[in-house]
Amino acid sequence: MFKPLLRALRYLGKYWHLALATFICLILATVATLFIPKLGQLAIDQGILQRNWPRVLRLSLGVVAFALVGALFQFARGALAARTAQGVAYDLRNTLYAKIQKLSFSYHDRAHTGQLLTRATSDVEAVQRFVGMGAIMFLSALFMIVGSLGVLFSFSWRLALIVVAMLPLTFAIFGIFARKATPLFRKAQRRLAKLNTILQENLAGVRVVKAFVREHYESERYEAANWELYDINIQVNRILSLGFPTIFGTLNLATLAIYWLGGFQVIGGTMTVGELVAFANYLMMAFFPVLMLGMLVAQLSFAAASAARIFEILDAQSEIVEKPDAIELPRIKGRVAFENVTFRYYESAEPVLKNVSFVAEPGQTVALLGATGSGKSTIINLIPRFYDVSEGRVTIDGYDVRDVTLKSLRSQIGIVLQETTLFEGTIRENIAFGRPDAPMEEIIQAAKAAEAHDFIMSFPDGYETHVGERGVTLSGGQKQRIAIARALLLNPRILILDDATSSVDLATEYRIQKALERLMKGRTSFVIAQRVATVLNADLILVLEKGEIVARGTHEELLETSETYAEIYYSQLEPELLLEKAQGGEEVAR
Amino acid sequence: MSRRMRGPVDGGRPQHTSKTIRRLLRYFAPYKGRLALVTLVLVLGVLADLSAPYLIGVAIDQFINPGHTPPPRWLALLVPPEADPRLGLSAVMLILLGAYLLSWGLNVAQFRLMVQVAQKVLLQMRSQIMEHIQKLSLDFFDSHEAGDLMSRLVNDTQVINDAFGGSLMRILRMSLTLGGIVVSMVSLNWRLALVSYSVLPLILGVTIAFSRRIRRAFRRTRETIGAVSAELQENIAGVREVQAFAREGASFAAFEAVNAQNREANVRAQTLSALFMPMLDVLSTAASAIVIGYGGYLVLHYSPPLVSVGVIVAFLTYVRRFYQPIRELANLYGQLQAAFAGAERIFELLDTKPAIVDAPDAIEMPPIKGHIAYEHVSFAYKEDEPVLQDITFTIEPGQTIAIVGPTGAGKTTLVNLLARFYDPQEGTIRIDGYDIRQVKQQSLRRQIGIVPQDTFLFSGTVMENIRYGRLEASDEEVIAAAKLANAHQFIERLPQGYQTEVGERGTMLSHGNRQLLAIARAILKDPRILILDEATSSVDTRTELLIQKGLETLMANRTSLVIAHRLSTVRHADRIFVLQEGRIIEEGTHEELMAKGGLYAELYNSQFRYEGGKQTPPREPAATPRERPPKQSEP
Ligand SMILES: Nc1ncnc2c1ncn2[C@@H]1O[C@H](COP(=O)(O)OP(=O)(O)OP(=O)(O)O)[C@@H](O)[C@H]1O
Ligand SMILES: Nc1ncnc2c1ncn2[C@@H]1O[C@H](COP(=O)(O)OP(=O)(O)OP(=O)(O)O)[C@@H](O)[C@H]1O
Ligand SMILES: [Mg+2]
Ligand SMILES: [Mg+2]
Repeated sequence: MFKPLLRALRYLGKYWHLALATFICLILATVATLFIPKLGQLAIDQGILQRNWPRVLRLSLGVVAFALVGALFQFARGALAARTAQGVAYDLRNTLYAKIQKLSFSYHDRAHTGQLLTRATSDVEAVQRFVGMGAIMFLSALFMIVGSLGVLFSFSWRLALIVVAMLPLTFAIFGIFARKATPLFRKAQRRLAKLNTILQENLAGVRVVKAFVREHYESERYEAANWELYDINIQVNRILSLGFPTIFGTLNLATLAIYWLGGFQVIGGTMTVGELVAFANYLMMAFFPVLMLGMLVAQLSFAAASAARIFEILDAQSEIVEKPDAIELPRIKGRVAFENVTFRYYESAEPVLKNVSFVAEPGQTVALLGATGSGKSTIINLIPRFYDVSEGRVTIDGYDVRDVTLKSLRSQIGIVLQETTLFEGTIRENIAFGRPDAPMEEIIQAAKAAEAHDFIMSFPDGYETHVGERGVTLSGGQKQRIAIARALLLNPRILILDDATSSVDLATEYRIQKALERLMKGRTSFVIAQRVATVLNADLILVLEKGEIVARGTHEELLETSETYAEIYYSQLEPELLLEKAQGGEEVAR
Repeated sequence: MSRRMRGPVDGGRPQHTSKTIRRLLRYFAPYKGRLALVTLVLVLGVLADLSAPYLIGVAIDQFINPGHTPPPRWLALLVPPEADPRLGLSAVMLILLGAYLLSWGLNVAQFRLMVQVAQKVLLQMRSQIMEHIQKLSLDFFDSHEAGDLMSRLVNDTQVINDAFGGSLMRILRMSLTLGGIVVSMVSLNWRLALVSYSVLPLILGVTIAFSRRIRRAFRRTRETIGAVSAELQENIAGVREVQAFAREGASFAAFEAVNAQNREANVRAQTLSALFMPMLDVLSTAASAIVIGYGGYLVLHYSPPLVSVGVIVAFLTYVRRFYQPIRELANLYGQLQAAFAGAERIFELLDTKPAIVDAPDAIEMPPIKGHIAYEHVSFAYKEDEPVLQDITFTIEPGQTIAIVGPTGAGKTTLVNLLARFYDPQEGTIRIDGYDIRQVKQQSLRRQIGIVPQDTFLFSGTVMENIRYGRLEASDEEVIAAAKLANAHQFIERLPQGYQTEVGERGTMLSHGNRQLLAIARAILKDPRILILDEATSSVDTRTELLIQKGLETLMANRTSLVIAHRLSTVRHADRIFVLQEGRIIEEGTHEELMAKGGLYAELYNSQFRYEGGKQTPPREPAATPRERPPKQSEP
């Protein structure tokens, strides 16, 4: 269970000098504070009781001096510890972020944004608190306990034994409460996550919620989850409300025992009043590290759980990894070949693509056509290696995509995914997403080719117009055109458009096509569309059905050879025809 | 002290603290009785706590180191003055034990009672915010980020809860303790008491000097962690784009930058507190030294001495106990500030009026027959950027209306107005003669089925997603709707059929399939008016035709509005509206519009524009459907 924590501790390595300095400051601060009660005791015993005024004065000043020195080291400790802990958190977060970015599509298909977010924020915080502070505190708490016990024994071994007896008792109480509270805490954490997930989805799908008049239902769902959280929180607090007073109660008991037994000793003449008072003060000093230690132990299991969740991500095997000897893909000429490609999505038995083979020659435009769910998007996702084939291979200019570096591969491919995701920011930033340093002229050129320039300029702020989260303030077709401009700005050797103009009207689409023809001369393009008009001019049209290529050729060839294609083609021209055909069977039967 | 601390320009400080506090306290009003009880328990607990140092002082002065002070009167009732000091000590210790036990019990009780109240308030606040958010209209969500709203509901409420569940009670407790200690100290020895307070002004000064800086520093940490999560959230949501554009480097650099800012902010805030706390420690230790020094002076330079050794010892304890709450109060002050800032953000949200509210005399919309009239409707999302201008038309019940036009023309906007997601600035929309602003929104929307342009599925199973259309629908009804939407076949092929999880936003499904589910969901709602906003843009034409066929019977004598770019989708509409730049520029049946030769005809023909040497001619489709290649036309 504590393995992840030990592993998290390794992140301290880089900051070992800071950690060491923190530790030293802590010890010095502790030593300084340990002297203070002793000085106070001397002031009473040797000063006041002995009626020695200069001594009283000197010892009082000594108390202040030691307090100053202690405070100095205390400050140094705090400042150093902050640097250590925050350094660890910073490193952890960066590592996590880099990893999340690297994980393949198939990981993200299954992951939940909210969960990843929690891990990178609150889990990192929990681990940081433990690694940065906890680990040092742990050592210093031990040190302080040992130190003050030593002092206590030097005062009076009999009284010190009381304290020694107190320690295991306190720890046992801590242990009991922690054991009871931990599972409840976890449960509370889970219920809170559930509550937040409801909220997050509700906000993401607010349009659907409103359209279906589900506001009330959503509120109720939230409220139900809210009550669940309340119940568990009350349970947690019931334990805590017993725990804290009980733990402080043990301290009180120890104080009581010390005054009682110590009082007997003073009455019996084996101890002075000053010693007794100092002893009570040292008890406090010994107790606080014990308290700290207890808290740390209680925290330990949370930190361990958080660390485990973080490492779960860091250890996740990305399905897409570069080979150690991956080479740079040279400038792409554009021959893309699928050789007997079979593909399954994560853990599913049924292949989505079966034995797909085709070749796109440099400069060609390849169109993919087929029913929804036939595997069109899946095919084009294999070219930039978003997923790896299950069998067969995909090559570009003869290079297997698995043998080249991802960056050299992907930076030469411009892709417009089927689901357009824009980022919060200006239109210019969104178009320049792949090349943040692109000059404005090129951005405008790309926007013009994507037929986006005119509508952008119709906004008062032009290219500096802010698009909301996910581009909510744009119409469907406007978003798609910005996505196209974004891909074109890369000046890609291979262009992939996955249903990229589905929300664009025909006239605009036609103009985009004309621009693309010019821009993509000599480069290879892949186009997925449902409208035949979009694919009419392709050099090669692949017709897909249930993951298999059932027909291929140019428009004319396919009209002759493929019934499916002809059906699709004419259905868009003359829907009645197809309907009659579909109903034909029934009518004949009647 | 708080007035002096109020800096002139301090954005982090809540603006209307007293108003906010009053409003916050209103949440606690229903628990008045409970709170009074808590306070009583608290006061008793503090008294029990305070009695401890007093009893210890008595034990020392009377029995351990006797002979310097006259015994308090109550003691004589308990132990005769001439008794063995051991016996007397034991008696006092037993009373002390009782006090400790009492304090333990009272503490447990107080903690429990308070937590219940605080948790209830937290629960109520959260539910209230959620309910309020549900009431807000879409324009609000256009301009507010989900992440920000999340943080208000999650973090700000938590901060308030922490403050009221813990801090407030602690403050009360500390103040009471402080008061009690002051009284004990003064009554024990006022001279010593006064000198031991001598460092108080210094402590105040330090607190004042630091608290604003510390608060600012901590606010900065909250802002920067907010930026970190925003950066994260967006990049996780767009991770596919990041990878597709090989932008990991730039994105990482951006993240590293905000991450570093967060680190710096945290280091600064913690360094400041690391400076603050030891300073308070030094000052409070100095107070102890003063007590010893001045106490010693009073013992040694006066005879009889003005103070006893036992009193000095008791004072040392009191001083520690006096400065600890002060130290904590300084700490808690910051927490309260955070809570007030959080409360203000929450109240600001709660005070946001929904742009669209039911009229006070709004009536229930009776079952819709389907007559729709737009009368001179004009609309703009932002001032001076008109999206729809002077739209006027009527639709008869049962008609199917198609809306076509260039992208960005305002088609989606037009239908959004019908469901009253936004209110037009000018003009009126009527359904069956009722102005839609005069009926209850819910009764209106309940009868309108919308398939929005952006398909959104909830994570959950296929079944749950379709059932969202009508929660009480049986499995059979869900399946029937799926069949009508032509989704049944693909669902059957999924690994767990209707019980397959679709993933966040439906990532596990192809796009067209997501659209089919969205259609099934709308069908299941059994609406009187159906709006399909490019609902089949990613669906192949053959499937689309089958859906249309299925809908035909369903939508007989109901009104439907269909937006599409694919003209095969709209050809069959009873009427077609052509929208351009926010105006309806053409209107009529397919044949009429083709004959007219305007924008529609141009759009339609652009479908078959053909390039290069190839020569499949654009056909004149409306004319003679039967003369297709033989294999197509033969039924
Ligand atoms: N929520 C919004 N806030 C501000 N402006 C918006 C918002 N939604 C749309 N717009 C703007 O209003 C105009 C019309 O958008 P609308 O979505 O109605 O177009 P559309 O005809 O549906 O286009 P498309 O065919 O591309 O979906 C566009 O210029 C768009 O940028
Ligand atoms: N991430 C995924 N995990 C599991 N299965 C998936 C995933 N993405 C797609 N599928 C399944 O694979 C099949 C092919 O999907 P794909 O997205 O390639 O279809 P498509 O041809 O692009 O369809 P559309 O025209 O609707 O976009 C579908 O049955 C779909 O349910
Ligand atoms: Mg697809
Ligand atoms: Mg639209």
